[in-house]
Amino acid sequence: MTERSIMVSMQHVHKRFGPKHVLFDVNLRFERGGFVSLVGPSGCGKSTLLYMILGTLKPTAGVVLVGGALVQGLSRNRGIVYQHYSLFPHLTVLENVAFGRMLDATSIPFRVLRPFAWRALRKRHLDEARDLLTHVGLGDPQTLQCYPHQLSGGMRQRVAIAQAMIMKPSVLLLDEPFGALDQATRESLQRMILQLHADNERARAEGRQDDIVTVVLVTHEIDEAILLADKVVGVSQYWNWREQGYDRCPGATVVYSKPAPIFKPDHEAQHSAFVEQRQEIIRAAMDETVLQPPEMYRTFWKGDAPTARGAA
Amino acid sequence: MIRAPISDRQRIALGVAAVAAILVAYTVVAHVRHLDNAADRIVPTWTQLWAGIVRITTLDPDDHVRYIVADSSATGLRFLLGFGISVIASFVIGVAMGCFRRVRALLLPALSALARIPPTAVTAVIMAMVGTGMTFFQFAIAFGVFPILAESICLAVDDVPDELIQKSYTLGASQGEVIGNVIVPQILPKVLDAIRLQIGPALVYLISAELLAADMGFGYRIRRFGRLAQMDIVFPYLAALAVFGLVVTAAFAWIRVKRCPWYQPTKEGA
Ligand SMILES: Nc1ncnc2c1ncn2[C@@H]1O[C@H](COP(=O)(O)OP(=O)(O)OP(=O)(O)O)[C@@H](O)[C@H]1O
Ligand SMILES: [Mg+2]
Repeated sequence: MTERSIMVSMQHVHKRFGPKHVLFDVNLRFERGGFVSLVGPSGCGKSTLLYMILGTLKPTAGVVLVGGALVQGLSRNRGIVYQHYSLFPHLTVLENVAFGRMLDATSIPFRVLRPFAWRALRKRHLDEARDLLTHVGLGDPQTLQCYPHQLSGGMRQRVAIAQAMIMKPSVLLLDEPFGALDQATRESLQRMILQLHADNERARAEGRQDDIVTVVLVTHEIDEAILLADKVVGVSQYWNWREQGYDRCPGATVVYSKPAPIFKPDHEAQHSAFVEQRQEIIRAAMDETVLQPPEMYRTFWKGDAPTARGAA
Repeated sequence: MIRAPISDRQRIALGVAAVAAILVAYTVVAHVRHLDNAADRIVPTWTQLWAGIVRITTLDPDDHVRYIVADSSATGLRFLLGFGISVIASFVIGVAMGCFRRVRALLLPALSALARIPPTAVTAVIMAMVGTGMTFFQFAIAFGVFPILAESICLAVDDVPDELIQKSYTLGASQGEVIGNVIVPQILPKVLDAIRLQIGPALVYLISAELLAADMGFGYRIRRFGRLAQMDIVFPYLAALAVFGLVVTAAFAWIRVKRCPWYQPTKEGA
């Protein structure tokens, strides 16, 4: 693997909120076009880690690189889907998805001073949004004109993913996007995420490098993490920090990092295939009685292993 | 039972009953008073009220104006300018305070303090400082309306979730677009509601300023005929004020429903 194929990289990242130590010496490298799921106990800092990639939080120490460049604030190249507040309430479904194209491609002076050019462009944006929504299973003309409050939670998250994807971001970040959904809805959205794998593959085959998206998904469902991702990363405060000379937990760190089998959409996922990996993830990240060296379950990247400790 | 629903017919009938009861009680009181003194104008009979209405709508032989027309245009213009300027100013300042922490730190404490002073108590001060021209009425309205409205618009901006603002930036928005395309459209229904709720107070401040210093307008006319105990003139003026207040309030409620079909007052966010 060459350096060029690394999309997201975190090197010796520490994060504290005041006296509170949240993340400790996180080292991660995500491949371009890869699907990573982040799992860990509640409150361990999964969202914090994600927001440092997004750019709304700064690491206390260490560096976060996306596409080789230091993350500095928000960017149109990194899309986000939140669990709540995922859509703009004052825009219809179609307008929500076209919104990014409008903001990205035009400016307020352009829209005010060149109304005819803007109207022509607007039509193109709406067509693009309609195509993308059809692709995620929301092509029904009536749905397109709905406001977010008229949609079910599952539809809202579909729209939110389309809204982020219309930007063709290089990184798509999802923070427990299906956390509030019932099981059936969750499964249909998981199939939609798996569809992104296929889209990536097609883009790669057709040489459309800019259309390849790297996905980072935060979830508390281990099965979901294994099913959707080609790499599962476990973050946890349950590691043997006492044996490493700390008298209080210096924060959560990467305790698990392994590839996961890739499932094709519509391929019935075999639950039994997960069981072994599932047990391993639980031992590594979720079980507070098992405190092992964090490198124990990290096999994917040699580079993920920390080289210097306590850098902050 | 508390909050048990009632039928539309029942609801309307009860509302009409209350109004009818007031009218009947008024008629009785007026009748009884006129048994003692047929010339009583403190509780005028319906006939006297009608005569009053005719008087204010016909050309007055001494003053050469139709009272209601002259007063409506004087008070209306003052209200329009005073309230309009207050609304525009508080919108700009309120949004600026909601978006920029420095503006907020600079202005919010001062505005909160100003908002605690009863505006009608300040009317005399304003009169001493700016005289009794149009500026006087504008200040009288603005002093009461501006601090409250600016503060509530600022709070409405606070209610826009951080997530949506951050998401706008990931969609390529500039700072101006975050304000113009994300924040302002989302606070619009709350702003319209806040404006609507300030119409009543704004009328209070304007009328009390007119009671103090004006030679035309609702407040002036009410004071002049009130002193003469001619309620056959005063009551139609009060009714006109009520109708004006109701119509403008309803208009703002209507605009909100038309302009912001997405707004769910009870459900926050999406
Ligand atoms: N802005 C902040 N200020 C102070 N503490 C914070 C802040 N944001 C997060 N924290 C703390 O950091 C820790 C990690 O929070 P984070 O939201 O990243 O956890 P999480 O793994 O996403 O949890 P969950 O599964 O509940 O979403 C928590 O203990 C939280 O209280
Ligand atoms: Mg979280």
